[in-house]
Amino acid sequence: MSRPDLLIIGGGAAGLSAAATARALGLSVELIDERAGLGGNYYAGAGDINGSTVGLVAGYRRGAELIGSASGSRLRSGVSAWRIEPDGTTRFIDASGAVSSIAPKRLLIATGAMERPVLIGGATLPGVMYAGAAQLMLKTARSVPAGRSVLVGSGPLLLLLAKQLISFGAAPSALVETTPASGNPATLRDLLSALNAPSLIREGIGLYAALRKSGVAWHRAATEVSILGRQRAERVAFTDGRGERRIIDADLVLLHDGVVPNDHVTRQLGCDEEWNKGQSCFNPLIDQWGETSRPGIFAAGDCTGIWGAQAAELSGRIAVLAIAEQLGVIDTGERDRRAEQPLRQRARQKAFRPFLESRFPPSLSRAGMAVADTVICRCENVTAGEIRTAVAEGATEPNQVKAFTRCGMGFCQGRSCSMALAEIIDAETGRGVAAIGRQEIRAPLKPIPLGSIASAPAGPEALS
Amino acid sequence: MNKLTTSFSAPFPLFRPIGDEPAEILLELDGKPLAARATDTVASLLLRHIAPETYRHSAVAGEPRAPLCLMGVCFECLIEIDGQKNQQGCLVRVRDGMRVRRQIREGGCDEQA
Repeated sequence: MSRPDLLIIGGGAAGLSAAATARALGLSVELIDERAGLGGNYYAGAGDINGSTVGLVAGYRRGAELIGSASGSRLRSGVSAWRIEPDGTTRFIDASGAVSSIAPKRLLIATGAMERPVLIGGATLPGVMYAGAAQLMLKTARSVPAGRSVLVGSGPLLLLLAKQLISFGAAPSALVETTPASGNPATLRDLLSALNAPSLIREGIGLYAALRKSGVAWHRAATEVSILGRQRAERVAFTDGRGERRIIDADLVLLHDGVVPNDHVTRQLGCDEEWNKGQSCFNPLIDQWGETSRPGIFAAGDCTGIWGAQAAELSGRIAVLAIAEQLGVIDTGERDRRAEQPLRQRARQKAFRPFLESRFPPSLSRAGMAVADTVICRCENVTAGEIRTAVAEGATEPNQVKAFTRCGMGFCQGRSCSMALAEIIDAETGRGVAAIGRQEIRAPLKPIPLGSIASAPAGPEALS
Repeated sequence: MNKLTTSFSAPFPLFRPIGDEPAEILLELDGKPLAARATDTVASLLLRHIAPETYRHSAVAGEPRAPLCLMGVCFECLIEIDGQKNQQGCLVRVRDGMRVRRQIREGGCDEQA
């Protein structure tokens, strides 16, 4: 079992910049990532040498630079962490099915963001995917929708994807935005705050202009969205901003309702978390350096709250400065001196977010109001109606509902349903999602073959 | 004719390739040869080659399911790879000689590629 100074879980913007910073400070570093390639979501595909097509995707070059600057460390893709101990010891399984462990002096969790699960009628049909998935197909597999694609939901990523598909000759047949038409009262204040990040504002304005010019059918302020089809998605139904019911044909439906922290690792560790009202998600409680409620365990990037790739890169650097100080590599004064600039830059990046949060609140998926036959737990096929029945029968805690209905007990272990479950319990009891919380997450973080566990090396860290 | 094909939906894949990257990796899908690009994952390859309703059959739900997130979260892309069932197809890079088998019900979800 290796014992590096630092183990990083996740090879996106935060993890890669942390690895590069740690190497520069002379720390021994290992980084593992479950994907087939490094770069996370934002810089997906940036590690491929043959990146000529995705070169057109903004940020690609920075991603390649980040991977290059981290390459002095041991970076491994296709490696999945499945159990993490409170002391940071991490068990993982590699692509060959071999199980082993790393016992680092410090652990940095940088598992990024995931799509906010969209649980609406017909979302389980083949041919329904998340917008992020289409973007990953473009960035990593150089593939675009083959037929009529319809983009549905809310958020900057949806608009960006529309623009990217247009530029690669695969214009969507329609864009159905569920973003509410009415401005949020916080918007003006947030807009002033957003002026701290002028380049992001310019990017947004350019995006809107390009989409208007493209002529793609653009429906705004849509509500009551569902997907229709027998064996696969065939049509999208919605009520448009004027209150008219519409049905449009689709071969591929791409859903997006913003992104949320991919926080399974910090949840399995039992790190304290808080409800982030502005972002409508839970996030682990961390200090300014990224240290969680578990000493020596740090988290950085979007798994701690959605602040974007640039902020994630800065957070990776900042966390490593604190880790190096804890390990005695630099003193406190040195840490503070080196952190001053990235902390200031990160504050500017974060200042842009409240504007996005008030402009694009979650609006597509409203589990609390979902009709009874809407599938909430995709793995175990548990519907909103079944969950409400369980709540009415007295199962008012997420873990109880899980035991009653198997909601969250399938392969994904609640990654898709846990927030929706809290929203339904809230709608039925009025207790508030912050108080209700989510199902407990236990190891293994993903199903692994029993044979792999059995063949794992025994020793002082033998599996308990 | 596949019994899952409806009169409303065409049995074509969801994605098509762009660029001129060659398909140099040779693997097996359900015992038949299939060429992949080196940048493919098992899921991305299949999304370009098969109708999505034939990706897998969920025994629990009793219906076809297909990849949703491609970022390791949703577990809808489960597939048998080199004899190991329930692998996340979106996380596994294609390799020469890889044996991929869809987890489909006997008699249903026939190949449409």
